[in-house]
Amino acid sequence: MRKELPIIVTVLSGLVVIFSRYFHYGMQLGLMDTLDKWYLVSASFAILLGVVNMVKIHWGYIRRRKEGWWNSIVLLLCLFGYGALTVQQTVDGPQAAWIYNNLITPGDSTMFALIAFFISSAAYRAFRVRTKEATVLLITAVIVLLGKAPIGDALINGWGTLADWILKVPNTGGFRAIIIGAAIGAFATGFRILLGLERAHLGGTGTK
Amino acid sequence: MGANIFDPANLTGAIITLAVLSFLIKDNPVFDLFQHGFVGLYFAYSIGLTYHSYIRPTIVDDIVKKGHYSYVIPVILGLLVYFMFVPSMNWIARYPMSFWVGYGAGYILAFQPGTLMPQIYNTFIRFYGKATFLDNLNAILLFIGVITALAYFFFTVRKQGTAVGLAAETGRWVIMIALGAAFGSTVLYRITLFVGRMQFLLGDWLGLLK
Repeated sequence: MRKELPIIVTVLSGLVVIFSRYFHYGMQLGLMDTLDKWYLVSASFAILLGVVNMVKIHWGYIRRRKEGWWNSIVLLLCLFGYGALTVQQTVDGPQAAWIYNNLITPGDSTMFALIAFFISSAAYRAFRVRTKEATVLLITAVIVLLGKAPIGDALINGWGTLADWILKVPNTGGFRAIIIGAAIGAFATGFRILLGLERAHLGGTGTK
Repeated sequence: MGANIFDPANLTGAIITLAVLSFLIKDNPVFDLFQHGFVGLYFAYSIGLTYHSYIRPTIVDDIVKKGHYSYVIPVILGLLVYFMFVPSMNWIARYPMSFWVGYGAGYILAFQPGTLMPQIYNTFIRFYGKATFLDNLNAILLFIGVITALAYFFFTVRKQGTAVGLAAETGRWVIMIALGAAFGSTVLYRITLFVGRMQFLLGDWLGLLK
């Protein structure tokens, strides 16, 4: 029963969502609102799972004096210090908001900005492979990159229009196909879960 | 714009920005220190946000003040996941996981058609009757792009020397162009962020920009 009962829970919760969406009586019962709330509340109580894991890992680093263990001390101090602050005064509290605006926000945007350099060098390495696909990918990237910036139209009149066309037609076409494909995959997985064929989520917690 | 080098907010932002950018030279202890602190801060922020958005309102407002005792069930369900740290009873953690996966599967089956069908409809039905000849041509090209790119993902049919194979080959180029455009947009967005950081360093912090 340690495997069968969780499968029943999976199937039932999935069927309740479908029932609430597609059946008039299901809509009238308002089960979807209850289930939404249950999902959000139960998932929010699981957030400390990450904290427990993180503390276990970094406490281990500190105890074993692993190389760079002082970084783990900083991580735990920030985690518990700022965690206590946000719980005590909400994330909009004066000190909590100051830390968010002046530490997290600049760090976040600089981290993302840093990626520009690494993906550019990755593109250069891909271009050096000299396949036709990589060349097309890179040429398109350059057209869009320069076309969406003022320099594109300054260099060649109409460059921006070409970039817009690429984004509007082939880009939309390609990504729409990817989205449709992914949605079909998600549908198939959803059916497999509700039929009890997909049980990967039950693994890793020990079986008897 | 006057320089505000020693303003605590600007100084903190500048130190963080320079610590992250130092990674461009090479991996270094300052960057490592910041990276770890950043992970801790972000995690702590999400804890505070979750606590005040869901945990506290559910326990204090819904259960204690309003007497909605049915909300005790999701609270217990969420807490059951911590049994995964008890080796002899870790099977109990399967129950919340089962609920989340079942809810997710049901949600996909119930709500995804609502967002997906308009896209399919717009691709397959509305490729005529546009305002200009160019609009019609673009709609037809979009239709061809979607069909051929979808054909590329048919892995269960024989492609060599067939119409599906030809469509799949065309679809491969469509996907390459789409990925190239996405790549270009991503680089542009990142560069914009970089320019923003430079404006902060040189303008807000050092006051060198007019």
